[in-house]
Amino acid sequence: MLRGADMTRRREVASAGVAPLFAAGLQVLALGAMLGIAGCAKPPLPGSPQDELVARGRDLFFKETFGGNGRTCGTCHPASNNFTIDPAFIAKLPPTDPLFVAEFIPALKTGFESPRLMREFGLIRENLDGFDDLERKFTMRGVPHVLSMRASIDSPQGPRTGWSGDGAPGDGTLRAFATGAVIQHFTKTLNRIAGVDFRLPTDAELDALEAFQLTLGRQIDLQLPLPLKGVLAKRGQQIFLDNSLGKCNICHSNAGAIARPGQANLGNANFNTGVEDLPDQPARLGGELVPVDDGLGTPGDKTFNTPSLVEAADTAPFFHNNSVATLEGAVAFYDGAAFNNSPSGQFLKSIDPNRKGIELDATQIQAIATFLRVLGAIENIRQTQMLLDETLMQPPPRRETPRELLTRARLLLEGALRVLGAHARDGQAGLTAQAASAQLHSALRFIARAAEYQEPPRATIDEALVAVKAARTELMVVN
Amino acid sequence: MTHMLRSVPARCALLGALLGAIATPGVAQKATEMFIPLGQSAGLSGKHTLIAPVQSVNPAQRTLILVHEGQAYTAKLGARTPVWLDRSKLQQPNSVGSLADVRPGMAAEIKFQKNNRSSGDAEWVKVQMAP
Repeated sequence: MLRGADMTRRREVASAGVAPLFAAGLQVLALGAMLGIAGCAKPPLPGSPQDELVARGRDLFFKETFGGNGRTCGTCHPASNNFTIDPAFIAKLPPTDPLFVAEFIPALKTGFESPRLMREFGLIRENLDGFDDLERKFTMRGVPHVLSMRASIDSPQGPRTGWSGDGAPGDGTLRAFATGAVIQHFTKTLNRIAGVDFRLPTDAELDALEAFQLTLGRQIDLQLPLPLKGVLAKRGQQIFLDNSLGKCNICHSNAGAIARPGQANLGNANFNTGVEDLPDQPARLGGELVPVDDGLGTPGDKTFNTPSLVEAADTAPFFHNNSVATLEGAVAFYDGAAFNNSPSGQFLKSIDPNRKGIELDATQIQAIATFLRVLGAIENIRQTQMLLDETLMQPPPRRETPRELLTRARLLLEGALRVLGAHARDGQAGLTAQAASAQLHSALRFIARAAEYQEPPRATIDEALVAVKAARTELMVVN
Repeated sequence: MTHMLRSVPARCALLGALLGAIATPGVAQKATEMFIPLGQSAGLSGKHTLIAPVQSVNPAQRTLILVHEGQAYTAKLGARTPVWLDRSKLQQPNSVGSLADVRPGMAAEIKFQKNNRSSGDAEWVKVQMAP
């Protein structure tokens, strides 16, 4: 849901855009900026209390170590990589990066991380069933992105955080999550003594961290179907929404994280989908100990939380244990024995008129993957449009500078290009992706130009906006 | 039953009910809770938990009596109710304990089942090991 203040600001900008006097004023400002007098810019006006809270949360998220081993929330949730980490990203980090504290802090050498599994598979060690046997009792989990949580973690039973839905101590909310994360991941020694090995976040810090995280990504779920143009993406969407074929929409309503079977709204739910039963899991092939992950609770009930799919295309690897590296592989999982023999697979079979589980062929798997790529790109483009609008606002939303907003816009478009790049190889069907990509490259050039100024010229922002809108129009029918 | 399920709404309703049945309730994790000093549990302490000195311990009945603002509260511990020893004031690691570690006069924090901040079944217990 868009917050009231954001909505108001956007309306104000929209109406200002047609007001000739205001527009003329902006042109003067833009001219000033182009002439290089950006140094005369006034300090930003104070934002709303909510904006200030979000800004404080952003600072904490990326800079605060809580007196621990040097890690911040951003260590595992970097903005430059969709707020998650994967082996390719990890490979580019310097050896002194705090992600690797287990490699250079002697007190964390054993029982804290599994360095090889971290580097090779992006897996982090968690002690969700207790800290009494650090050598043998742990789970190895991927790092979930923290995008779109406003639309994806609520359930009638309470919020679900982390891969098994029970990621937070205290009251189990996103607000409390940081407390558990500091204890698990930020500690200087395995004693985990509050006030010695780390300090716990204060109430005000928890408020700010939660407020910041809730601004990331989508604020509401999409409404499918979208009027897509590409034939393959369009077919993928049909299969996704077909409850007798793909059956994806049952648990991933509108490609989000909410299960809406029939008339019911289960909210964000936990299911046993059999991921732990997959054969030949890459992390286990090397012989290093990867204990079975029993999911929610202690002892676990083998269920895991439902992630949103809109963001999936650019946040591989997939599932709680990063066991599948590709989007096609993740879709194909639901066509395999591990899923179809699981309680969730058996359930879907039981309610199918023909007692069929999910049976998809390679072309259908490809179509769903293409649909998810296009969906992810469209959402990135939508968010980019919003950020470009915001670069011209005074005071700046969330106390972000225009350059910070433009950096985020660039990252979103680069993400869209990555996922469309994979789709562009789909022969004739990939032509829409190719055309959209060309527009996105153009938008990136304008964004780079605008970022040269402290106050970006409106004309350049407008040109970037035209290009991203054109890209969107290549992918879907826009009224 | 089969006839009933021919209608789409009926099938949808059944689907919802069954999926609801296999979806599990949301919970907070307890593993890291052990390391949070007494009174500092986010969203719980002072709001949904009871923080008070232990007045008495009854090992046979597995109960604790705490007195808060002149009122006595009884916490019943099940066989698997965790008891955590908060040693943070001693700058030592917190640890898993048992009812046998709890003594009258110790500061305790009780999280009751279903956030029912009164007498009843305890979900977890923390006791402070003071210097």
